[in-house]
Amino acid sequence: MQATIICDKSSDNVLANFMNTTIHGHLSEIQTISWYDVHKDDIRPCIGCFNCWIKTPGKCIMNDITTIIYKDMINSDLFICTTPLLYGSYSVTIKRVLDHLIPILLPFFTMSHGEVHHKQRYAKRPKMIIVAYNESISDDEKQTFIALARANALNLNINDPEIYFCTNEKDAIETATKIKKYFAKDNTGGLSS
Amino acid sequence: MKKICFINGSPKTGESCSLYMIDYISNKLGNAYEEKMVINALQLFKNSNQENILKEILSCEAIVVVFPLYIDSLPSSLLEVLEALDICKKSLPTDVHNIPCLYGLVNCGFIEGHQNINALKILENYAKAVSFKWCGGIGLGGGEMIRSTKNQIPLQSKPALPIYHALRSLADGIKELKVINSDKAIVFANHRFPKWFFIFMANRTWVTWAKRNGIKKNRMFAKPYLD
Repeated sequence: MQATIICDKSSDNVLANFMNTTIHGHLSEIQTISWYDVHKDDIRPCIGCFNCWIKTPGKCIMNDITTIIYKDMINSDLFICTTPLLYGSYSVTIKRVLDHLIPILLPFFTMSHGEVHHKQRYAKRPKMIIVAYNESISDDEKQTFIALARANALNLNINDPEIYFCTNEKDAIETATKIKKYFAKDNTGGLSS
Repeated sequence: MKKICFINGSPKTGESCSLYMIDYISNKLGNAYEEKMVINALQLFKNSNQENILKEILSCEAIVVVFPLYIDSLPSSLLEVLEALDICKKSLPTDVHNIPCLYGLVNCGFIEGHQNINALKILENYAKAVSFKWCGGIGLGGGEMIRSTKNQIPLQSKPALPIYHALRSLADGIKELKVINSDKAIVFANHRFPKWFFIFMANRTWVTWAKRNGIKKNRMFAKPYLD
């Protein structure tokens, strides 16, 4: 199983460092993972030019790390995103990555689940796991993030994502263990011997 | 002196639906505010004076965040400004005399205004986190169409009336620093078009725009990164 993982390296609080270290510690032996530890300064914000739809179809005109992440993501079976939870949203860094993913879609609209959504550019779509963490997460923030992640999945025509929330080190270890088991279930040779 | 700040969350440098909406609301406010500021989120971090600008924003009675929906939520550049504002506020002594009223105005490319709901929820969570007074927001569908057809389909014409009512509700609330009507039938608005018509018009527009760049329709379906 081919997987792409993005982690936010911009946050340097205790939980963020523990989260990133734990995820790495649990999954580093898996050889089919493309890791991206992204820092905010690695990515320029999307400027909404739509050139990825009408000038260089399928490609963002900014050639940065998101170009490689995007290529790996569309060729993956699993996309994992770990993000600090900010007001019920992804962190600024992770949002910068996600904002650059619109060329994965076509500009053209279609009806899906009774609503207008974009058509898909690629037939293959990865399964999605999202880990949101913060030392304090309110119920409103949790519900907002669940609804947001589900809306993202709907727009990408992906089945509902698996969403994990972590507020402490115990949660981080449990979540990393669950994700590792996910790879262990895979019989396509994701784990090294 | 009563002050208001519009934070323009559109990363576009030229014309945008957000900027059009800011002009519209600003005009509707008349003389209700003595001072009106418009801050472009993407430009703020290029400004060496950003600390003072953030303090200026915090001194306003009303803050109106206007933006396009990006991946079902706020554009990253806007999120960054709001986080910076949060950090700035927490670094200052608590100003018990001024608790800014926060309003939101989101537009999305899809026809359904209700697809903006998560972005407004994020703003509501933000207001709680920074101790602003959340006064509500509106979500408009077909944002680009609202701006580009403003002369052909004026906001007070029959197909655009839901948008007009939502904007009026927002402007009335901001004028008096009141919480706006939260009725979903009003706050989420779009043109009264059949969805098939919206899809037909929008898809035709994309092809026209691509042609201007010398891109034929079949090339718009390119899959450049498939292994």
